[in-house]
Amino acid sequence: MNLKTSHSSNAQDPQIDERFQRPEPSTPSEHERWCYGDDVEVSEPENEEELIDIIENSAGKGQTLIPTGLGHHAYLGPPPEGKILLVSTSRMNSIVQYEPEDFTIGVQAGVSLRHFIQELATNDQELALDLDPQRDGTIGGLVAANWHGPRRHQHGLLRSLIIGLSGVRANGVRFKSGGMVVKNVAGYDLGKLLVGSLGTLGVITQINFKLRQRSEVVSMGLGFFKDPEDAFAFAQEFAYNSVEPAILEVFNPEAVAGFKKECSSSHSKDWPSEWGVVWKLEGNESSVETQEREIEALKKNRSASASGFESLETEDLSAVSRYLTQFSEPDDPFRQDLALLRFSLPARNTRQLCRDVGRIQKDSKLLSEGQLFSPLSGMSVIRLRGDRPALKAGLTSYRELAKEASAQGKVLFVGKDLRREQTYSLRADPNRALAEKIQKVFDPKQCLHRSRL
Amino acid sequence: MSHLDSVSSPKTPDFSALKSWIPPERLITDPGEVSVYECDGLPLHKKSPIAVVLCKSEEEVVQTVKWCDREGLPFVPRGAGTGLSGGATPITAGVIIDLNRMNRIKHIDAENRFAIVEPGVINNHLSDATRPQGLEYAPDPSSQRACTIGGNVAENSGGPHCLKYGVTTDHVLGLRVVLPDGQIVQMGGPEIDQPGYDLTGLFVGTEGTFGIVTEVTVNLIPPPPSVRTYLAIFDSLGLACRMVSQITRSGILPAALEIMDQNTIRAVEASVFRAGYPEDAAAVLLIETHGIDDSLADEEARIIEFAQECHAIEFRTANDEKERMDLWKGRKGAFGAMGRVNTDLYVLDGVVPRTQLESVLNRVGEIAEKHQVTVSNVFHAGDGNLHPNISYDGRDPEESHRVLEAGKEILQLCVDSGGTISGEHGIGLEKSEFLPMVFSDEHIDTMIELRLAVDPQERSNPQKIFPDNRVSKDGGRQKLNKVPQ
Ligand SMILES: Cc1cc2nc3c(=O)[nH]c(=O)nc-3n(C[C@H](O)[C@H](O)[C@H](O)COP(=O)(O)OP(=O)(O)OC[C@H]3O[C@@H](n4cnc5c(N)ncnc54)[C@H](O)[C@@H]3O)c2cc1C
Ligand SMILES: Cc1cc2nc3c(=O)[nH]c(=O)nc-3n(C[C@H](O)[C@H](O)[C@H](O)COP(=O)(O)OP(=O)(O)OC[C@H]3O[C@@H](n4cnc5c(N)ncnc54)[C@H](O)[C@@H]3O)c2cc1C
Repeated sequence: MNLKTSHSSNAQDPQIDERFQRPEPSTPSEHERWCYGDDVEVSEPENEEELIDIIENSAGKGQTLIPTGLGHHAYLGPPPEGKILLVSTSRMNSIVQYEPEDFTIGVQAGVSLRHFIQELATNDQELALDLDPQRDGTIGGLVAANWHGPRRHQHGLLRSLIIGLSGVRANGVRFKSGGMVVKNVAGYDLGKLLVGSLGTLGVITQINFKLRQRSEVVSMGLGFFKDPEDAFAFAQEFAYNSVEPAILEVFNPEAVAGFKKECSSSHSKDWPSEWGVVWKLEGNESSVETQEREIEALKKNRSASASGFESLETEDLSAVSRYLTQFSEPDDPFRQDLALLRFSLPARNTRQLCRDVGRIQKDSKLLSEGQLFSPLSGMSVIRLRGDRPALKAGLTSYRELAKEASAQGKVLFVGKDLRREQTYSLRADPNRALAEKIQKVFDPKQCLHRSRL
Repeated sequence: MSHLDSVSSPKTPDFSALKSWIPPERLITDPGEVSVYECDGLPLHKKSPIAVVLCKSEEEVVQTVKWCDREGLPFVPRGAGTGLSGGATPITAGVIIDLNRMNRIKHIDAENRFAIVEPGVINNHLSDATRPQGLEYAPDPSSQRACTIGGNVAENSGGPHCLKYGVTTDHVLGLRVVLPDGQIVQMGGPEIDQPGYDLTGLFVGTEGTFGIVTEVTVNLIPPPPSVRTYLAIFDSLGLACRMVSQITRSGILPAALEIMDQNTIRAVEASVFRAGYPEDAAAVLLIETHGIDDSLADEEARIIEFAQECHAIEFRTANDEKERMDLWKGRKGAFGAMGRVNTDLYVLDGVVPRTQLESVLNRVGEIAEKHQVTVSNVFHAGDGNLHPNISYDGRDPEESHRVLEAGKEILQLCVDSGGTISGEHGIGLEKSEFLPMVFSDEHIDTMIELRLAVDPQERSNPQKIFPDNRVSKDGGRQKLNKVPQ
């Protein structure tokens, strides 16, 4: 029996990485300078009025405005040229309205993830994403980057959790959509437009979310397989019965080695470095138990092809969960030898993508730092290491693969030297012309870093 | 005077170009025949179009839109016309582009759980087609036997089971749209991590003001492993609302939580939709849970406890599919049943925070009394989405006026209680003047400018959503009333 209580948000203090700290107000962090160069100013308005003043005063100064939270993901997309004004929401950081009984919350964009998670935890509630209580970062940054983790299959993407959003356009005019109720079709859904807009449309100042009760219990299991075909065959069986895992990922031996390092149980040391399948169940006690019984049957069917199955011990549970969520992030954003790609395609095509990724990898001079495939949501993340020429060539091949496989996706990270020549999306946006018309509404004078997306 | 009458009359358009390709039976211009299209499910506003073009393909839509552009005519996309906010009601000189004949289910990918459909597919025909493959299309408006997927997309429709599964926008993966200038764009698709902005998300719910949807890629889901359905019966509407709050607060997420008040129960029981609800009850609460059976058993125990705490006078459980359908029969037929109460029905669609249901409904009762109108409530209680339905005689102008006043006051009440003026029926013509209840001028300007970026001539379904008197900073909005002279 491997039922565990899930409430692990309690958290030690996060380790502070000084390279992300702004040394004094209005001074960029080391990481921001690394990403944007030395000609960077930071302004940190305290409210919407100050924000509008800043935007209006910056007009005609030839600066590119970049809406920012704490700048942890300043590496996303190609950087702008010239002078930069980072407009940070870090001081717009209040919880505006929290209605636990209605399962809704409205927060300013600068609220930190930690504060947010802690506040919700007081009522055993959560935003249905895989947020890490130990990390720094703002809710505005989360929304603008449209981050999603491995629970996306069960809980959906950020876009469906937002019930209201407001902000200021680059011409100083306010915008708003939705409100504080869970159903709302009054006016256009600007929330959808702004999610994932990476600061190219304006500054998001407030976001309202719908929440969920945290699950009473969670349980995680692992299966190991020598042959990736067997790993996928096992994982895909989850789709054909009533098991509804919150997480189901297939990963390669390098990824197994990666999370083994994070785990502390004596047990984990013996895990084979092979292909793995990890699943996480969430729910009330009886639903998790029922699903576990069904998984037992699946395991029996596959016992001949599997090297073994494991239930995760409590001490390993959060380590593996964290490893999975952090997988789409560089361990060190100053690295030059790393690229992180996310692919997205119809779920059942994931197996073929895995084969193709392996083939390209073999033909290239790149090393794998791990591959994660999600056969239910069709999302896959691969981590590649290599020198500049190898990464450049590899990225070209993977972009071609995306085209051939009709996949979409993003370059989530690439070393600074390559950034200027790499677009964020793996494939071109077919609706660029329409997108430009929309950008013009939000940024008529072209003050924002429009090509980031 | 309807607010449509203020728009000036058109010149006579030149139909010859249209007639060169459209068969005569699919172009309606006869004044008697076009009057069938004078309104949708909201009878408060009526206006005949100058023509109705019954399109069968995307190419025909493009040609019609381009013809409208050349003629300087606005057009109104139309599905089944079941909309309840006047969205498909034509304005003067408007051409209706009817999409009912574009009703092919083009592709079902059961393995990857999506389908590609034309906009005229009727909502429940889609699930009928996918069910043999073990999949369903989740959004289930009560009008699902008639309304089209295109209409659902345009309104971002909900339905009883959207409490658990989400509304239309949560199930639309991609769209093909004919923009108001005749250009075709394909946005989104079955891959969830698309490049650029989430244009699909932006377009859903734009009520036909961004062009015509000609193809929709929708997500399909497997049916739940188990379903349990209950009916809790109360001698007070407030207690039914309290039970909804209890369930919500507990973190249980039922698939549906629907309330019907006494007026509705009586209308239902007097109709062919009779479901055996006790006519002396003040309210019934229909509860349905979906999931793994063991977990539903746990939830059932708690739901029964809540029913006791809220003094339900009776608690019924459906023991089989037939009993389940019986419990649902009254809810599904409620709007139809209300048709019997009077000649006309005004269906309101406000939303309030779920914890406010009880107090808001008390106030709704007071407003009804003040304006001497008959209100029946049947609504998606789980998401706070109220439908106070006012039965009236539309031939009586004085009564119609009182109905409108009461409606406005009820929506203002929803807003004052922290809610909004539409949960699923859209703003359309009905509530365009109420938009300032929830948005400031600046907010509305941004939306209007977006609309003008997509549709600079305001050809596609003009005069919907936005109040007539809004003039955006660049003056673009002044074009609004410039339908051809
Ligand atoms: C690649 C990646 C991996 C992640 N991994 C994890 C993880 O493992 N665990 C986890 O919990 N979370 C993760 N996240 C989510 C992350 O925690 C949030 O994105 C975080 O809160 C970022 O905050 P920030 O303030 O540092 O953002 P920033 O780096 O300041 O901003 C990120 C992007 O959003 C834009 N932006 C920021 N604020 C605004 C605003 N108010 N209005 C408009 N645009 C704005 C910026 O221009 C920039 O493009 C990840 C995100 C990304 C992109
Ligand atoms: C008895 C009854 C019960 C109802 N129950 C519900 C319910 O539970 N939930 C709910 O949300 N609604 C409900 N409705 C309202 C209505 O059925 C929905 O709004 C539905 O989505 C409208 O679909 P339709 O095909 O009838 O669209 P129409 O009424 O024809 O059009 C609605 C709007 O969509 C636009 N439109 C239509 N097709 C297209 C297209 N292809 N491209 C662009 N724009 C288009 C029209 O211009 C108009 O603005 C109910 C209505 C009735 C009469």
